[in-house]
Amino acid sequence: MTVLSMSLIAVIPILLIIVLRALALNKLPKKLFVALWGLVLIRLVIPFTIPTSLKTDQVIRPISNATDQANSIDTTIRQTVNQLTNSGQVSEDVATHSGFFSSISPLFLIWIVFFILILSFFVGNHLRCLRTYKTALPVDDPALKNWLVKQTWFRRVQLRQSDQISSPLTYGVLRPVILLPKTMADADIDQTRHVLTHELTHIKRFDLVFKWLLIIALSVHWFNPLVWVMYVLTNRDLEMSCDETVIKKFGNKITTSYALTLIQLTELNSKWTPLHSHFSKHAIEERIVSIMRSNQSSFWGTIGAFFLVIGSVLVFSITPVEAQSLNLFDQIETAEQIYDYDEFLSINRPYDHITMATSAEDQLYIEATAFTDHLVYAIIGIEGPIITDVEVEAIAVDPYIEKTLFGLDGELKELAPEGNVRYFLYRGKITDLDVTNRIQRFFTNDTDFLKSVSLRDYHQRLIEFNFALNGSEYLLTTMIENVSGQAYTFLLDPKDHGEGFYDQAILTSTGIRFSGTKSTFEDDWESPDFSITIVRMKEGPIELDSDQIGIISTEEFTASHSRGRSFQTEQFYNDIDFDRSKLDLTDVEALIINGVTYRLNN
Amino acid sequence: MNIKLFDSELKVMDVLWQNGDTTAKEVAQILNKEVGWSKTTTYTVIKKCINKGAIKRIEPKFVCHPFVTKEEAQAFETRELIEKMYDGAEDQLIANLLGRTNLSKEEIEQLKNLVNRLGE
Repeated sequence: MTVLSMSLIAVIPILLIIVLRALALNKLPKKLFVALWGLVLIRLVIPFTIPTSLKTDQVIRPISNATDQANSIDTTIRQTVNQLTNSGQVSEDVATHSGFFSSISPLFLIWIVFFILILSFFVGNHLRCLRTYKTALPVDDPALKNWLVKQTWFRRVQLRQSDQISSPLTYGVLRPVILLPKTMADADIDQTRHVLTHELTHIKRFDLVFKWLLIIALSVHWFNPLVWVMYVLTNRDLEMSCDETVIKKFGNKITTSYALTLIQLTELNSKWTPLHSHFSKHAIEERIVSIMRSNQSSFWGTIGAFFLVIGSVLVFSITPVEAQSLNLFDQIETAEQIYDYDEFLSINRPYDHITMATSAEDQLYIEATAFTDHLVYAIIGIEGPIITDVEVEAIAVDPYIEKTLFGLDGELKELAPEGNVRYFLYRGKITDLDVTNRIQRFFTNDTDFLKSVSLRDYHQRLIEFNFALNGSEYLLTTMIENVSGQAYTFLLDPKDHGEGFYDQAILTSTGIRFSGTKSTFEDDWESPDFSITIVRMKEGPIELDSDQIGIISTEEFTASHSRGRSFQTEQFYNDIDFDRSKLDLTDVEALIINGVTYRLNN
Repeated sequence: MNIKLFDSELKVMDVLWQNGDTTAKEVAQILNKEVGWSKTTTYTVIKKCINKGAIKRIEPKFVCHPFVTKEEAQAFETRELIEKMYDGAEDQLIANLLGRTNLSKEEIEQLKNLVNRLGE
């Protein structure tokens, strides 16, 4: 979920509520509108999805379209940035994937600036007002105080008066305070009780929390004008809902006197304070009308509205969810079980001394590792007492240039012990170490980061595990090798008598890497043009031709190209990255690179 | 000195009028007991009074000295009340208080003089 898509999804519900309000405001209980606004608010503030296997139907389609549109706006921007930094890159030393280090989007910066500005405005305003409120003086009327105590349960509500406010208000969530303006000191007891009941209702319903959530939603979605409309209308509905309660409690006979009380109080209205129950002229009119017409809310209207709420909950909450993938982490319960997956993964058993760490009490070692494009799996054995919890942090490093490549977002799970050895399964996902980039990606739902980076490119780099247990730290290291996942290796067709420049081509769903050792490659390095044909069994062939500018391909397949050389293995390679297209690997029969055929290695 | 003091500021002044010069800390303690203000709140109000010229700060120990007497503050309040309720016609206020609606010219003159004297 991105901020943009959350905002777009809320557009339709907000419009619906606005229409409903215009049509039937006084015929429906105000509590209903508050509940509806509350649902939208939750949608705006919490990014969650309810997983559903519902196929897209008429109702859900517009919502998923909104998400797609928002995503496509994001990805178009991202793609442009990528393309500007990608084409024709040649990397000499380290195998890097193009687009790994993308710059921070300017849109994100603008968003965060406004977010901070708006939030600080509200918070600052609130703190300023609070200073005035705290100088209020206690109210002396014992009858009033007695009555107040009878109304409240566990939170004690304080009653105070101030000559610096012009209409009653309440503040404080944990220790609520009702402030009465000094001008009300002479009001009759009934009027005062009405006003106090109104404020007490605010307190009982935790309306202040609601208002703060509204402000947060406004700060996050400042760019969406409908959210501003929602802010104004919801505040009004909160007021009217409390008015409703007052009338329900004291009876219809007080409507006139209550309305008059409100008018009296607004005669002296002054500055705009958004956090408590102040109101503008239009809002007051709405309130008065609603009070005077309060006995119009109909039974059937309420029933109909009830079902509307149920319907809205479903519509607002369901968003299409992505398919689940095979979850190794949950399924492996013993150390042995990882070998059941050797069809899907290459399981490595590292024996270097660096995969072991010892101390006086404990001995830790890496029993097995497995790598896919984005995941690192490791089985770790620990011998010796474990008194505290075991914690682990892992990163990937390049030992030759002594640089940290990326972080791993990991989980650790204990497996069944064997003998006196306790086993743990670690699963880590590649993640960017730069926190700013990660925040940015959360808000722009950038999944392209994972598309552009793969453990495959970090062959022979190291993963360092930092274990902490029993108050000591242990460092275990292992090499990235045999990165599996869906990847097929194509070798020179023997019929070509080894005349091709490249030794092999590895095909994955996101790209092709074809590489060769120095002796075969050098000539080809000079001429950057190449052409590749992906021969498929059921579908037609895909042609990819490169020239000075970039790659020209068939429409369904946009791709970018980079190349480099690895110093350690002396391999030259070319990487073709499929930008957004995916290839059905099971359908591929052969690759023809510059006229030379490579066949699947079986 | 014609300065408008809010209720909160008058409360602080009250403490000083009753007890004479007091340290800010003591004022805060007294008011905490009387009206439940936190120390910060009391200090904020004291500062407001200082800005308005109602309190003078004496060092050391942040002693608060009332720069306005109780009578002066009361006179100001009365003046304000008259302006608000009677559009500045002081004589009407007195007449009202006395319960009379018709006054002779001399009586009005007398009252005006009286009020002017009080207002000085």
